[in-house]
Amino acid sequence: MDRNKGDYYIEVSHVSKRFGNTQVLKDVSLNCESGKIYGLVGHNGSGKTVLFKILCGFLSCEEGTVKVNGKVMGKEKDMLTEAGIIIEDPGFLRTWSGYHNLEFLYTLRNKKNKAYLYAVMEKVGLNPGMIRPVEKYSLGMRQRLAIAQAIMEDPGILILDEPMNGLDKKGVEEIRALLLKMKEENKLIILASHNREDIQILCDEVYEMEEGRLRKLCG
Amino acid sequence: MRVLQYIWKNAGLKIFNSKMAAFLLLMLVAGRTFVNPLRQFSAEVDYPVSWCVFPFVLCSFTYLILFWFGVIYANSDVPFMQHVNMYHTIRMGRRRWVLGQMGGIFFRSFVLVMIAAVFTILPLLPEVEWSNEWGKLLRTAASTNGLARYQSSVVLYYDIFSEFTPLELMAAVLLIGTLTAALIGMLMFFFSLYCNKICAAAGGLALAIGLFPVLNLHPLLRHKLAWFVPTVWAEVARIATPDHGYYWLPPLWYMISFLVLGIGILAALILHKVRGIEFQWENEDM
Repeated sequence: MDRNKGDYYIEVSHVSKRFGNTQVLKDVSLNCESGKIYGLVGHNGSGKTVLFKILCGFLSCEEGTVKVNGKVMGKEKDMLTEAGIIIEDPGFLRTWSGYHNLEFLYTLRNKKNKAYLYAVMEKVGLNPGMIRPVEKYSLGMRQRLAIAQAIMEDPGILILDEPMNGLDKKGVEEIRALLLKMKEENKLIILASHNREDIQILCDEVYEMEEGRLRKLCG
Repeated sequence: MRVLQYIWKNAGLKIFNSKMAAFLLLMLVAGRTFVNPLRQFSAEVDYPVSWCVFPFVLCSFTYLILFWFGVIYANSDVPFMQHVNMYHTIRMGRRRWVLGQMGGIFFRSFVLVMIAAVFTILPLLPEVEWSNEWGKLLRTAASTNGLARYQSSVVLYYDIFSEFTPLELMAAVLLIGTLTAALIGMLMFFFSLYCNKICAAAGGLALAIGLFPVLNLHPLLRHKLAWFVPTVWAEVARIATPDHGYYWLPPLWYMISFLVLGIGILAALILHKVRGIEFQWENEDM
């Protein structure tokens, strides 16, 4: 396979994970590369979020390995720092405005560009001038802010757990278009969704997680 | 450089939040209450009072225990696994993230002590004497029972006046207070990672409550136990005053060495743990 500089590839090999007596992931394997969107479907509690957390480096796996560009997570690499993520609830400082939350996170990577952040907020359908604190945002607005947070540093990898949660029809269409554009820009995107239409429209390969086992559905 | 910037930003988050606001309020009320007799005395004799009363207020048992409980409350956001920290960790990596947390604990500790110190000066403000001399009022109050009729629970230790200037004593108290508060914060962070949040609170409380046996023991035993209970070292103002023939507080060099070493050991253990810890994010607000 030809790989260019800036391309990413993730290899998940025979990963198993257990919490106490509950086996959450069973022998999960998955290969992903830049320029594609991978869809993950499955019931609540089937193990999608746990797999995402293992990919990011938040959790470790008892068996198997996760490699990102050949580096083993947990040994040669402790965290997937090149990824933009949405996992579980969007975690923002509730009393701060959306813009200030983004600005704070953006500066963690020594970046500062107000005009750019304004443009990112507009891209996801938020008004950057709005001074309302995040605690007064609707669920959809918070989700849009989470998407802005995930994409604002132009990451090579996107790991998105239910990114369309709480979005209205127009919002869903906007975010779909945004993700397709990012795919064209050679990003590696892994997406979990309960919405079949999202999966059909966006994904190149679709996998189903059922009781901790992953199987390929199409692509 | 990136770590230093993260420490600075993270310190801001740890300082400007609702828990710190509650601490501020607690210290405002406590400072006003404990300093009020001095203010009344100063007003009655129409003589200014030194700005350096914080070290003596800290020697009041009730104030000291309130202060440490406040410090424990401010540190109860351990193990820093609120959802917002998920976005920090993915950007910074584990090592930088934990260095940011530890640096934040240190900065917050300094601010906690400064808040308490400032709130012992504010109530005195119109009558404060801004000099590096102890002044007549404190010397008179220390050598007579002039404060007794104002129901003061603050004792002024006369012997300290010949050993330290106000600036030196305040610097010593700020240093010992900051290091002890940082030790409590680090201990709570350590327990929250190796055990859980309840153990963290219990560990912090155990260190604070360690004051009770030290201060209530017979002086013959007190001076031995005092070497191992850092929360009592905030009473630096008593360091030059013997009790039943004993200088029961350990020397300053010992306090500083013990605290720096303790913080260093905890930092090493925390760094080791975070290399392999599983992050379980929670919904608690920062």
